[in-house]
Order: sequence, then structure tokens, then C-alpha cells
Amino acid sequence: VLLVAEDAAGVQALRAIAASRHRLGGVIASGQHDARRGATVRDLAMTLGCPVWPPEVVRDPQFGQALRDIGIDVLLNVYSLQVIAPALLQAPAIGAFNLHPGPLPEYAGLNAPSWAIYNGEQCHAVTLHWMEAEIDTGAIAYRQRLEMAEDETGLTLSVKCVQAGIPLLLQLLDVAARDPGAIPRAAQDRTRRRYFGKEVPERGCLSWPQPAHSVVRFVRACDYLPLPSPWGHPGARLDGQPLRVLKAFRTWRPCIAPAGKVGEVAGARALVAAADEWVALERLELAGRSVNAAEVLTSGCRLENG
Amino acid sequence: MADDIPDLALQEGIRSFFREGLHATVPAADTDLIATGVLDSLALVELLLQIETQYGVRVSLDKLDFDDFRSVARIARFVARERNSGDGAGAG
Repeated sequence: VLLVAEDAAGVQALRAIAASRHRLGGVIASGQHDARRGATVRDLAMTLGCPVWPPEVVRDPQFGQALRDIGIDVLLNVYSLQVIAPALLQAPAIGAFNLHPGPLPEYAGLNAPSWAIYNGEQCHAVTLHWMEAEIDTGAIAYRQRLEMAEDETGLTLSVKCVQAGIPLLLQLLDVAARDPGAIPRAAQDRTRRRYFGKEVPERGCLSWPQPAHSVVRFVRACDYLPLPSPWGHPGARLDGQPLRVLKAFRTWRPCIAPAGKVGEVAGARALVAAADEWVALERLELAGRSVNAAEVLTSGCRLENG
Repeated sequence: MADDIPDLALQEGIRSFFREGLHATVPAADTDLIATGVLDSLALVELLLQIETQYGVRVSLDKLDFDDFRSVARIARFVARERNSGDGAGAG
């Protein structure tokens, strides 16, 4: 197996494969350290004594011969955003596969868990698919459906994707070792394909005249705390000063106050008027500092759109 | 949830979390969990939940520093410090 991987999902995939009966021929991972992300795939690969190559090699068509020489049967791409040269995708004896944290073809591209929450989906999926040159387009090998909780956040849904995705990788490797011809290959319906890029919805700004469920979903979609959010946190303004909303909850309490108006302030929370209900803001970031909403919002003041 | 847990007992509790929760062996209390690939970001999230459940310490996001979690010994010191400060219920 050749593992091309990044992030915590890559670390956990590497740990699972190393503990399985399948043989790791090498790992391709960056050496980038981020003080807020902990151990890297490269760290673990070095600890395990696996050969490690830098991510740039996936763009080198000649590296395909190296893969054939090593005897790679399966290439697994886990959360690496490198575009792999077509010659490398053809090099493994059995095939190349990508673990994608979303249902395909509906959620191709980046940040699928956040988009699913933002769009108000009731369920999600993690997908293991054959790799083709075009991103997230290959035939589906395995897919695990995931129920979404009412209070799902970007982090909790991402954790579910990893927890459900690792067993799919091991299932694929078991089937590949037994009978490669038995690996499923269900073509994607390209007419249903939606691709999400680097863009952040609403340019990262909250809009108070929206329904409460939309406001809260946007905040939850951005919530990866205590880890960094790929979208950042949605913005608003207080007396012209920018702030970010880190935690917000629905109250289901109807509201006819002007959108953005701050109502009751109690405990850590402050209620803010959306189009139809009060939204409870709990945690904000102001001038780079994380604070309880009740510390900075007073009843009667008004939040503007971000 | 017992008060005044000795440091060694804390260390053993934390090591058992890595052993049973993450299926990762930590050879020594001062093993660097990040450099050896044990503590990735999702494992940290699971560890924080465990610390909150097991020891009643809710880690404030403002205070979160990966360096406090770099080894079993450091985690034990962090938990003991938070418990003793009486400020364990930081806003999450």
C-alpha cells in the first residue's frame, strides 16, 4: 500500500493500516507542522520506520516507475489535496482510491462537512472512490451513510467522517487482498455533481435578516473548535467594530424585534434578533480575544451584518 | 471523580486512555506524543472529552496549548493544575 495522506484523518489511517496485516510500501506526506494541529502523518510514518516521500513527487510522472518497482498494489489518498499525476494513478497494480468526507457526486471538492451543515442536510456520507484525473469523479467503491445530529458542527461531522472512513479503507484492502475483481465500481451520476471550491458562503459574513436556523447553521458549519476552522468564523459588526461568532444556538423563541437587535442578556449568552426567532450567541471573538457574548453585548444594542 | 488524584495515578489514567481509546502505546511518561505521531488533532479532541468526563476539567479554548499535551507527564501536570486552580470549568 502507498498512502498519500495529511491531517488527523491521515494519521489515523496510517495507524490503522500499520496495525493491519497489509504491508505499507511507503507514505507521501508533507512535513508541515501547525502548532494547533498536533501530530502529522510524517511524524507517525517516521516513528513507524516507513519510507516517506514529500508531496511534490505525486506530480512527477516518472515516480510511477518507482511505485511499480516497489510493487505497490493500492494507492490510498486520505485528505491530501495534492493533484496526483495521471501516470501515478495508473501505476498501482490494483488501483488508486480516494477517501472523501462527503457524499458523491453531490458534495465533491473541499469542506464537504461544512457545506452539508450550511445547506441544512439531514444526513451525510463518507465515500471511498476510484481515482481519476478529475477531482472526486471516479467510480464509487464504498460509501457509509452518516446521520447528522441537530447540533452537528463542522468538527463533530468531520470526526464522524474519519471514524466511518477508516473501516472503509480496511475493507477495501481486505477485499483487494482476497479478490481485486470484487472491489465495487459504481459509476457516479455526473448530472448530480456539485463541486465546492475554496469559497466561503456569504463571504464569511452573517446576515441577521435571515431565519434563525440559517444563522445558526452557518455558525455551526464553521465550528471546528478547539481546532482551526477552514472557513474561519462568520463575522458581524458591533458599533462598526468587527467580531466573529464562535458559538450560537437556536432558542425557538419567536421574535419581532429588528434584525440584529440584542435582547435579553443572561449568563454567558446574549439573545440577538434574527428574522423570525431570537438566536442565542454564547461565544464571540473580538479583537483577537475569545469572550462570552454577555461580556460585550448589552440589551438594546444592535449587531450589524458582517 | 475523586479529588486530589496523585500525579502517578493521573499519568496511568491518561496512558490507559491512549492504550484503550486510541490503541496507541506510549512507552514513557515523557514520550513526545506529537513527534511520535500519537496525538493528532482529532485524538486531542477525544482526549479533551476524556479529561472533562474523567477529571471534571473543562479546558478553556482560550487556554488551549498543544504544548500542555505533548507528553503524558505534561497532560497530568495540566490536569492537576487546572483542578487545583479551581478554574477547571473554563468556557468551552
